[in-house]
Amino acid sequence: MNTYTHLLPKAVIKYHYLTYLLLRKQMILRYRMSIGGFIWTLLNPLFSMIVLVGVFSTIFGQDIKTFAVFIFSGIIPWNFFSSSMGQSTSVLIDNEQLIKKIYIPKIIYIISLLLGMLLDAIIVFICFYSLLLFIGSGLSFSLLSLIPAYLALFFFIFGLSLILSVFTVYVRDLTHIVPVALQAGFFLSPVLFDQSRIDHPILTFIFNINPLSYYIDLFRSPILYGNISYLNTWIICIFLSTVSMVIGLLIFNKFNKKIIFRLN
Amino acid sequence: MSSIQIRSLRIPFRKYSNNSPTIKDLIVNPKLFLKEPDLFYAVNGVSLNINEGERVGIIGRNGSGKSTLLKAICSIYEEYEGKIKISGRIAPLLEVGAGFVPELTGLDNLYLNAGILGMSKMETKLIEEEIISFSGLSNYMNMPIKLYSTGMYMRLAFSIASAVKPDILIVDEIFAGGDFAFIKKARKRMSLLFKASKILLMVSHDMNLIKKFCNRVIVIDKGIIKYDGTPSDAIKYYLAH
Repeated sequence: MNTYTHLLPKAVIKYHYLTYLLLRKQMILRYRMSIGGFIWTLLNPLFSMIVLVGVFSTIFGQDIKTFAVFIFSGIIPWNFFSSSMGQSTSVLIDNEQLIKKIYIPKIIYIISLLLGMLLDAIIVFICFYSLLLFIGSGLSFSLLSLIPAYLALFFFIFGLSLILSVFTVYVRDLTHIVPVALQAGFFLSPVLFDQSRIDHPILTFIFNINPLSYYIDLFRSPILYGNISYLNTWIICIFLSTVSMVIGLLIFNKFNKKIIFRLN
Repeated sequence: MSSIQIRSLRIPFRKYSNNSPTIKDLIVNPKLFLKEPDLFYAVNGVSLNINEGERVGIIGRNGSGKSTLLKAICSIYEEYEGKIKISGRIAPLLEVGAGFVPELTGLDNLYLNAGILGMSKMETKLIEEEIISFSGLSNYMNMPIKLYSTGMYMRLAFSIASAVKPDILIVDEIFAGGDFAFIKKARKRMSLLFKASKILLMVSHDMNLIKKFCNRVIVIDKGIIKYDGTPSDAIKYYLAH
């Protein structure tokens, strides 16, 4: 029996309220702990963006305003991806005490974590975009395509998170490996560079096989150029998201019941 | 009809000596990767039928597999040899205060904890008042529980955990902390809860508690049922061995 096919909807329907409660807990903790809890979630990416824009617009000799929008359109999907990956490695281990005491489908922990990440990403997006509007960026209907773009990226991340969260229980070293890999990934994704302007066979090859390039394009096209990505890009992204989710669920389902014996 | 049926249940654990290897371990000794782990069975062949109306106490020494058995019944351990079949609504009452978050207020923790124990929003709303008044903490519900005293913390945790109304009640060494007045009040609430459940399954080292509430007692040792019978006979057997 393919339990994975109904594992997800069943858990989500039956435990939707608990998912909400866990999500709420996560949001309260993040935004209440320090005096400017909410402000910090905004200032963090803002500062890193200012540094990047300042340094790279000088190096590349580009107009600061356009470059700021360019970086912003890459940072938004990248931050969502990298913070989700970073947190996925520890999500099951952090909830170890609860997992050992009370039965809750483990996928609920991952879903609520990622919904929190998504919510964060959207809040940051809205605040930053308001800022961009202020310095003279336009609004266009193509921005609506960000809704399916967020969804596609969410499901891509979801699959990877399922895999990463389980594997970390088995190989704890991943908590240290993933951040390093993400640092490399940042430069191997077209966050800072325009993919089409890179004229280097190896880098071009890496950008082409890097799934994030396609997701970044879904964000960059509407934010920077005011148009919707090519149909091809959409098809590739939807395909990648589906593959990631199916493999993620398969792997998660395979290890789901064994995790508890490894949490010690 | 509520019932619990367990057929030749065995729950294997890896020995600590072959815990998850780190990459360093694997480089030093690549054979670890392929090595079949040494296992031990915390529950080693248990068959058990519990029917509606039975109040079953489980006694045994530390590490005899009592809690592991309860955890398997509550589906915390989902992988095992044998079969477990449960009919009726079961509530996890294994631990009081599981999932409490120190940073959250008493009220937030109430909702979160009730949710973890399987209650819906509506159900929680209905019993919220009762839980708060029973805990006697109505003036402290908007305060983060990290500021609570140990007694206050225990009182809130107990009040929530004992507000569930399952068909099958599973209890592992439940103690109510707090002052004398609260303990007295809590005992009364526990016995009401015990009486309301269709099946009670409790682990305890307190023989008086077992005698008071159970009509059937099982003695477990090394993951095997050694004795199954009336409370007085089982306790006699347990104390003699």
